Amino acid sequence: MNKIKTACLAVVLTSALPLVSNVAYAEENGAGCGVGKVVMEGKSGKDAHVSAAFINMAIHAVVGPIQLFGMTSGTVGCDVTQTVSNDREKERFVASNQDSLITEIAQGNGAHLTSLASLMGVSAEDHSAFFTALQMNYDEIAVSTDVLASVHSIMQSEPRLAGYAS
Amino acid sequence: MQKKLLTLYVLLISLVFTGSSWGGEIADVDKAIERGEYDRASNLSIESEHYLKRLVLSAREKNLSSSPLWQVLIHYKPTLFFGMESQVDSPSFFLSEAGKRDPDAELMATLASFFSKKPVGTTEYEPQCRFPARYSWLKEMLAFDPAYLPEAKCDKLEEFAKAIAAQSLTVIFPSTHPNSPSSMFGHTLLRVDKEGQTDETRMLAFSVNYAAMIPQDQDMLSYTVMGLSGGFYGRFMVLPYYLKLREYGQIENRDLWEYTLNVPPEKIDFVLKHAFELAYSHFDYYFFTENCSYHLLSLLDVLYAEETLTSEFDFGWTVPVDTLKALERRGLIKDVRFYPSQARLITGQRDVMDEGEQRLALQALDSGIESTIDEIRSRDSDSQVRVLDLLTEYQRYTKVETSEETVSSKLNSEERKTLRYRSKLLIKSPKLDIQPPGPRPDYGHGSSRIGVGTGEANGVKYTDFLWRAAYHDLLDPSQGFVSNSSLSFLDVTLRKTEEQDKVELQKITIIDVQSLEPRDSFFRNTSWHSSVQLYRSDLVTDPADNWFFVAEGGSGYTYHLFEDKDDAWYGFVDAGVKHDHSRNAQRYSLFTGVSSGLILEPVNGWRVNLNGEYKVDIAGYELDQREVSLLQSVAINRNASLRFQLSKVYEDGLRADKASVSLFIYY
Repeated sequence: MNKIKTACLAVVLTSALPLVSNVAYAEENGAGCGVGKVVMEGKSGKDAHVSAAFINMAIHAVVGPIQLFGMTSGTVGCDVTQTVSNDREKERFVASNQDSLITEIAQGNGAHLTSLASLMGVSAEDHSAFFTALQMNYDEIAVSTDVLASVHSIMQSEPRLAGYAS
Repeated sequence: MQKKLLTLYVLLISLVFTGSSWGGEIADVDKAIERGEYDRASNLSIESEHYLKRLVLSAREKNLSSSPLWQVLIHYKPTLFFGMESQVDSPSFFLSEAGKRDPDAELMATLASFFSKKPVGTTEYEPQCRFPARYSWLKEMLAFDPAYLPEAKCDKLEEFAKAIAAQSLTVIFPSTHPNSPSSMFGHTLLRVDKEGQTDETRMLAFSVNYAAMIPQDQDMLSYTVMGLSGGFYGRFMVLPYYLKLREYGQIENRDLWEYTLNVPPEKIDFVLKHAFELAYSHFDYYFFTENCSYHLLSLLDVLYAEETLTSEFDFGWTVPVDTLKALERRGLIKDVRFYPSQARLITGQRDVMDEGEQRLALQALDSGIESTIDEIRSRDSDSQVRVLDLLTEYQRYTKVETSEETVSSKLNSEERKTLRYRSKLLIKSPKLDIQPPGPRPDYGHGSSRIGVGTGEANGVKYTDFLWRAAYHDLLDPSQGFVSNSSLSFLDVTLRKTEEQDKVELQKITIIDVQSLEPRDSFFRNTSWHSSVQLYRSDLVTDPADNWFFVAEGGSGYTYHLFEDKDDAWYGFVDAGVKHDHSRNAQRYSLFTGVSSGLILEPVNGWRVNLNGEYKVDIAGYELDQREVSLLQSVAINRNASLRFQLSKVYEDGLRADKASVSLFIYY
């Protein structure tokens, strides 16, 4: 009977504690080269998030509740301070927010669109003109393989915005 | 040159002769330098070496290695048996081999290293650039003379500072979310706000996030092997905030609370330099103590070395929201803002729409935009905007919920068709003003709880002493917490009955989680609960030897009773295992059952929970358990509440009426 008691306790420790400890605090999406990589490659998401949590729980069950063990520093093979120059930032921003940008272009408004305007150096009083120009040319942008280039060419053909796109 | 050298010699000799103790220290300095990583034989000129010795002596004289700032820069904490140990776990963070435990040796080695151009560890940065915070502080303290110790040009660091363009610091608290188990206690990260940033462009700022590195693409086996052989590392990462927004706002549906700190812009540079130092190192990640929120404070400690922020959390666990409270107590919070999750945005959008519009959006989601567009177009153009915008949000939300490819930045064809129709309207979408669901999370009750209660069960009167490690249950004061979600961890009841003189353990709830997420015409949420408990029956007259261990869980649905209220009506199908350990019996039962109930907050601070349960065995010993209970609580203030409980229990042939009242204090 003592064995059963021990087993009981083991079940408690290996199932309950990880649920709280790991799952509560681990930001388990922060894998590899960072969320950026994971997010941009579309490997994350709610399912992945939850399944990662369950994997972590399983690991916890094996390893113990106090501390998790994992990869070596060699695995994090990329730059941990992902800051880049403004030009590259523009590209990165558009690439990683393409869906939100196209959505907001169609809607003529939004935080991503305002942020793009800011990255392009468009001053606040021209934001509305910028949004209108993009909304009117939605079809062109939506089919474009290079959203940034397409935005550039639309700006150039709009006298009020051409100055920002040089 | 000759003159300078001569001066140096004179200075050194005079130092040697001014005090015998200093004479001894010169030899120490030599040893310290040897302990350091720098290669003496390489190319340190005699001149530099003498300057180094002067710096070392000066540092000793000023006792820099025991200064509070040095302690926080190297993350030294006192160990149990005197002495110091750094919390940083990367060997390359220390320039002295003894550096993890020896602040003085590390300081000496750091000074020595500043004369070297050799890259540190696996980075490409020479010591001055690898450890810019150490460098700038020591430079100020010891007034480095560039003639003897030339300042390195750190390109990466400059690019880093320029890209970040710091203006202020903001601590972000993605609020807890019940259906995402990983976020039950919350998380904190830091954002470095840019100059001229607005609500909308704040996503372009950089965030500094401390997290455990757990690879997702590993198979279970190697995961486990690695899990057994290595150690999950906690690391700081600097990422654009829009990536974090995507993660929290869209994928996990967590509201964001942003706490802007009272840190003057000129001080931020030093924090960033230290963040840069830490980004190339790691700590071992401890989920309860040295977690994300703890190390965010340990980063900020470089501004508050005299009285560190972490000192409150060095003993015991670190609950993220408690770190916000600590910042508030220190008067460091300047401004708090709320940003809704996508789910809350959808709710907000629907609030300004009539039923016809809402129905159309759902219909277009279910049967496709093409078959619905004519009906949508029959409405005025503002109405079309509302329908199409809600449809767009629905499509995105559904995509994230169901697809593997959740966060690819590609739009699917339904989304594209909808947006195409939307763009043709040439109307700008109105901005929504969404109010926070309640007070700031740091205005919620304390995360631990202690209490005393009195009651009667089966005719026996008793007094209870209650303690819970964390965090929040459905009857605790709801202000500042996510509604209808509860997490109790280590909830202990000690009981003294009228008939006995001693206080005995009555019940331990190891964990109890309830996530009640209401369903409606669009949100098809599933609710669930699970718990592990060990308790003594209070139905038998001699409970001394009668223990039960119960692990159970259930899933079901929750609905709102009234709109705009945080009430919930829930129903579950449950299953679990019960072990009965008594003097006469050692037996198991696998059981199944149903439970259902209501949660209301009729007026602010008065919470009511009516709950019914029925359990029956499917294997093992015969089990028949029925319980109806009415629980009520009244919040006296933010950190105190009274609870009243009435229940009728029928358990394995025994029945009882129970009543109790308890007073809880939160801390």
